[in-house]
Amino acid sequence: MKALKTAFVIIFAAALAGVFDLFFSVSEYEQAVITRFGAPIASVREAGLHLKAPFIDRISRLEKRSFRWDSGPLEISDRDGVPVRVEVVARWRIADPVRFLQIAGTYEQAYARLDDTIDPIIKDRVSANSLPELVRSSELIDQGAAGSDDAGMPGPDAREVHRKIVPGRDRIMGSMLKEASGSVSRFGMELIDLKLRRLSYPESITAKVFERMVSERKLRAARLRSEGEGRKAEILGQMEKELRGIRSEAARSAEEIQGRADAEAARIYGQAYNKDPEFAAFMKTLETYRETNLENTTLILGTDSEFFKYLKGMKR
Amino acid sequence: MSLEPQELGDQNDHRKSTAQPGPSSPSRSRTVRNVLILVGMLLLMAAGAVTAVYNVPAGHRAVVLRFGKFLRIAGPGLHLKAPFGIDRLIDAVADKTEVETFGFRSVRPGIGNKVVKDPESRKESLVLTGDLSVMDVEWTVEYTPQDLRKYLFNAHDPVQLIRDTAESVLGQIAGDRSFDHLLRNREEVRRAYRDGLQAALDRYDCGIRIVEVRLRNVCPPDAVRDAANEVNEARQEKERLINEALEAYGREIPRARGEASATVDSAQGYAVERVNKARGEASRFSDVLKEYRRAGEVTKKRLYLEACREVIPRAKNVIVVDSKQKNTLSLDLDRPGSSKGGEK
Repeated sequence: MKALKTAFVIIFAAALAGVFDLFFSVSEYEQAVITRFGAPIASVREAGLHLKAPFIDRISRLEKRSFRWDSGPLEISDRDGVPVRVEVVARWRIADPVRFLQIAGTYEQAYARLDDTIDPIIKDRVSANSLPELVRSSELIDQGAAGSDDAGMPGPDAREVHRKIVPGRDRIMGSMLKEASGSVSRFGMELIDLKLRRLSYPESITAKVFERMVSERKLRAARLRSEGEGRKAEILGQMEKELRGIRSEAARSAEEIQGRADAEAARIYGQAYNKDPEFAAFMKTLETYRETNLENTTLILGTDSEFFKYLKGMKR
Repeated sequence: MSLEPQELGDQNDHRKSTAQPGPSSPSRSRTVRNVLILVGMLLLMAAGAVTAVYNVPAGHRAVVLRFGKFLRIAGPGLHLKAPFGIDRLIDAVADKTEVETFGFRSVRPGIGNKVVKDPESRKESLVLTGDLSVMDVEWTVEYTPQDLRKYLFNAHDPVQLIRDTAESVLGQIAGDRSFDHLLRNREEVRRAYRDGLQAALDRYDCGIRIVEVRLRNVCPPDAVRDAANEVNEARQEKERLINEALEAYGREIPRARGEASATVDSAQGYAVERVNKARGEASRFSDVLKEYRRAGEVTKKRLYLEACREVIPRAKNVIVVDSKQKNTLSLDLDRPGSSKGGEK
C-alpha cells in the first residue's frame, strides 16, 4: 500500500515534469534549435511558447540580434604604393541557426571564419584601388557646393582633387560586402553590412603627410597674397584709367565750350566794329588806357598831346 | 528579477518536513500537514503577488515579454503582469537623449566640461578629407531609442552600432569634401552628417533617432595649424588689399566726376560771360558810334578827355615832357581835391 502510494507519487511527479518539459519559451532576441539525441531537427525563430518532445529534445539558444565584427587596424598599401591604415566593421547575424550550429558551432568559431573570409577581401580590394577612391564616394568635391574657393586654380594637388572617381568608397565597400556575403552564408551567417570605420595614414608616414600639408598651405598663402596684390593693382589701374578719362574728357569739353564762346564773341565784336573800324580802334585804345594799371607808375606826357593842347591855349 | 516560486515553496516544505521527522500521532501529523499546506499556499500567494507587480521608474520605459514574446511597452509607474515568470521584464531603458562623444572623452560630463584626448579618441578624430589632407574633428552624437522594441531586439550592442556608424559616416562626409570646405562650412557639413547618419542607421532598422549632432571642433592637426592659420591670414590680407583698392576707387572716382563737372560748368559760365560781354560791348559801341556819326570830332574829343580824366589821376607821377623846350613840369596830382590847373 505504501509502496503503491510512493510509486504513484513518482509517476505523478514524472508526468508533471514531462508536461513542463513539453514547453519551452524563446525570447524576442533569441532563436532556438531543437536537437534530438544531439542532432538538430528543427529551428525556431519566432519568439514565444513552443512545444517539443519532453526529455529527448534539447534546446540550443542562439542570438537573433546582429553582432559586430571588427577587422582591427590593418596596414595595407594601395595601388600606388601609399601605405593606408584601414579598419572595417561588419554587422552579421545568424541566418540559418541549424547550419550555424553544425558548421560554425560556437561564436568563437564564427568569428574565426569571419576573420578568415573578410580580412583577405579587404586586403585585396584596398591594394587594388587607390587612396582617393577609398576616401571619396563621389565627385561632390568638384562641384561648387563642396569644393573650396581655390578649386580650379592650379596647384600641386589639383590633379588629385579633380581626379575622376571611378568606383569610389561606397562601391568598393559594396563589392567587398557582396564577395564576403557569399562565403559567409555557407556558415549559416548573414553579412548585413560592411563599413569602413576608419581610414587614415599609418603613423610611420603621418609626419610626412603633415609636412606636405604645411608646404601646400604655405604655397596657398603665398598665392592668396599675390592674388590680393594683383587684384589691388588691377583695381587701381582701372581707377587710374577712369580718372584720366574723366579728367581729359572734362578738359576737352571745357575747351570746346570756351572755344565756341570765344568764336561767338569774336563774331559779335567783328560785326559791331566793322561798322567803323577806325572809331573802333580809337574806342579800344581809350578802353585800354582805362584798363591799364597805373599804380606806382610815372606817366610821361608830351606837351603837344591833346590833353595839354587846351592847357597851353589857356596860358596864352 | 523573477522569483522561482515553486522552488521556494519546495524548499520551505522540505525544510519544514525534515524538521519534523519520524512518526507521530495521526492527529498531530495531520495538524502539522495542514499548517504546512497553509504556509505553502501563503508563500505561493506571496510569491505570486510579488512577481505580478512591477515598477518602471520615472522617465523610463520597459518591454514586457510573455513567454519571451513581445507583449507591450510599459511606461513609468506601477503595473501588473502575469506572475511566475510568465511575463518577464527587460531592463528599463531611460527615455532620455544619450550622448556619444567622438575624438575626446568627457571626464566629468556636465560639470565643468572637462575633456581629455586619449590615444583611442585621437585615432577617431583624425579623418581624411577629399583632398587627402588630415582634419582633426571632435564631435558628439545625441540619440534617443525611439522604437524600444527595435532598439533592444535588432542589434546585440546598439551603442557600439551607433559608434561604428557615426565614425564611418563622418569619414564618408569628410571624404567627399575638401579640407577648406570642412573648415569653413561647418553648418552644411553638420547637416549633411546628421542626415547621412540617420539614413545609415535607418538601414539597420535599429529604432534609433538622431536628435542632434554637434561638431565640437573642426581644425587642422597641431602640426599643420600654423600653416593653416597663415592661409587664413593670407586670405584676410587678400581681402584687405582688395578692399583698400576698392575704397580708393570709391573715393577717387566720384570726386573726379564732381571735379570734371565743375570744370565743364565753369567753362560754360565763361562762355556765357564772354558772349554776354561781347554783346554788351558791341551794343555800347553801336550806341556810341551813332553819337559819333551825328557829331564826329566833338564826341571823339570828349571821349578822349574823359579817358584822360580817369587815367591820369591814377598814375603816381605824371611827367610832362616838352620835346622843344626840353624842360619838365611835374604836376602833383596825387593829392585828391587838387585842381589840375592850380599849380600852373
